[in-house]
Amino acid sequence: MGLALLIPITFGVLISSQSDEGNTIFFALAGMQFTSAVILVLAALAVTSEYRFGTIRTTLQAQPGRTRVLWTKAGVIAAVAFLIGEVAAWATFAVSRSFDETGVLVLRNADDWRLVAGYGLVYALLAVIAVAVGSLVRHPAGAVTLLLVWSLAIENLVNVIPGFGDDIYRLLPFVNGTLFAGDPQITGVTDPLSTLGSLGILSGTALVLLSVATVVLKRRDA
Amino acid sequence: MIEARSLTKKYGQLTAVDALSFSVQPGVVTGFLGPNGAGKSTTMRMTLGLDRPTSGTVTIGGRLYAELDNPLRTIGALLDARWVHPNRSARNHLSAMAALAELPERRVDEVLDMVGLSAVANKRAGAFSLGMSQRLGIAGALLGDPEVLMFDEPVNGLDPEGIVWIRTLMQGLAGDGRSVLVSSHLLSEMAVTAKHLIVIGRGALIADCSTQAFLDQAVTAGVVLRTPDSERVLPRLLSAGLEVHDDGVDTYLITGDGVSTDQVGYLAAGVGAVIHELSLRRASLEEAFMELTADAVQYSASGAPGATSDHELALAAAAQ
Repeated sequence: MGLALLIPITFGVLISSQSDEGNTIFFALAGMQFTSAVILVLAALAVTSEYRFGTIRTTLQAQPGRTRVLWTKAGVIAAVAFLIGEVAAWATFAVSRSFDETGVLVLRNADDWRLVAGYGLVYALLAVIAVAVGSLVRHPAGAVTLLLVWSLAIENLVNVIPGFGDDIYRLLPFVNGTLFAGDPQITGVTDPLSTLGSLGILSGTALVLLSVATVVLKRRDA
Repeated sequence: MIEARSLTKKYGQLTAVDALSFSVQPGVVTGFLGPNGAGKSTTMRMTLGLDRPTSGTVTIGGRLYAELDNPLRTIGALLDARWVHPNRSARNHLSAMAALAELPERRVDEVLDMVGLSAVANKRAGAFSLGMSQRLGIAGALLGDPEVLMFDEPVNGLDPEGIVWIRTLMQGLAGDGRSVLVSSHLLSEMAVTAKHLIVIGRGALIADCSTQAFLDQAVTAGVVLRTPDSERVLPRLLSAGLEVHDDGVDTYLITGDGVSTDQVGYLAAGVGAVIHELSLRRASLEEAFMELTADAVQYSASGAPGATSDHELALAAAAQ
């Protein structure tokens, strides 16, 4: 949890205090990308530790409605992730601004607001994806490995596939999480799909995965 | 009341529970017996809605587990004492369960007191011994003051005092008119705890009767005869169609269809033999059990099912 705040703030301070020119809100908040890995791990562990210790059976004994159990879990963890996202983003923004001498770290329009405030939403959706994957995989190490390899390695590798790689890359959920809280000037994605479309892809992925996890949880022996 | 109807669970090719039908009545402790891997735990897991039956149903008071309004208040269960987060205290664990079942917090202290864990209520559950974990699991089962209780091998890891305690507890719960189902492979323990027995082997029902009837139905009972006049009496017994086995110095075990002390006594008197001892030998629960489940042992040491039995007897003896 402390890590979730420490990483982006440290990055923000480093970037803002050293760049004389060309600093932007997006760069100042670059550390938030690393915190998303922390969110994925925390959210996945919140579910898989129930399997690790067998407490899932105690939970299901008290509440046999499995849809309710999983969606409540996802809701609570997403809310926590949202809070972490907002707190980390605003704290990073505030601290970075105090170190920044160029004076570019100002919220001028809705896009600027999205660059900071958007992280809460992105983290909440990442948390839902991690909860769904955790519920499907059930093993802490397996779920965490899958999520980190998927978000940090596989999605970036797709980019280098010659030809259609770029087009697929554009549709991947974690990439779109970055794009939603991204600056079109820098990411170079300025087509209409850029922001709301990105949010749609990310939340769509979260919804589909959570639905699959719900069906599987209902059918599988606990 | 628990009622299973043609309950079946298959894992691929393996049939863990095979068309099992039984009912657990209120007011008595019902023992659920079977060798390891017979399907006892699987049956209990299906009762709690944790495992999905391949076919058939099991109901609690006529309703499926998933249909119960407040399951923890209807049926309390201890299936595995390790289903606790190790970093939570005993009180935290029970408080979380109480919150889920919408039970008042004071119930937590009541059940902690009942199982004798009040002194360690704030210690982390991960540091508990197996016996203490069992007590915590029992506290969880009692939390909702349910009408139906189910315990899977509850005496595992308990010391002799703990075993007597849990026996008294279960009989007390049944005495209140609750339905109590207890699984065990410690047969001698069940003989003194349970009034009724449900015996399964390889997932199928072997016997569903009172403990007394289960003992009586055992076929290996015989008559013990101690006599100095064996030369005269034994040929008479053999000619009457009975079988005679050596059973020590001047002592013989007489078996055969419908053998009784009366019959052996008359036969001995007929040849004027002196008798020092004449008594009925009842098969022990272990023997009755081995007899009935001989074909149903899932995991047996090659050709030596007796080894398991002796081991269990030793365990049971040590536990007394």
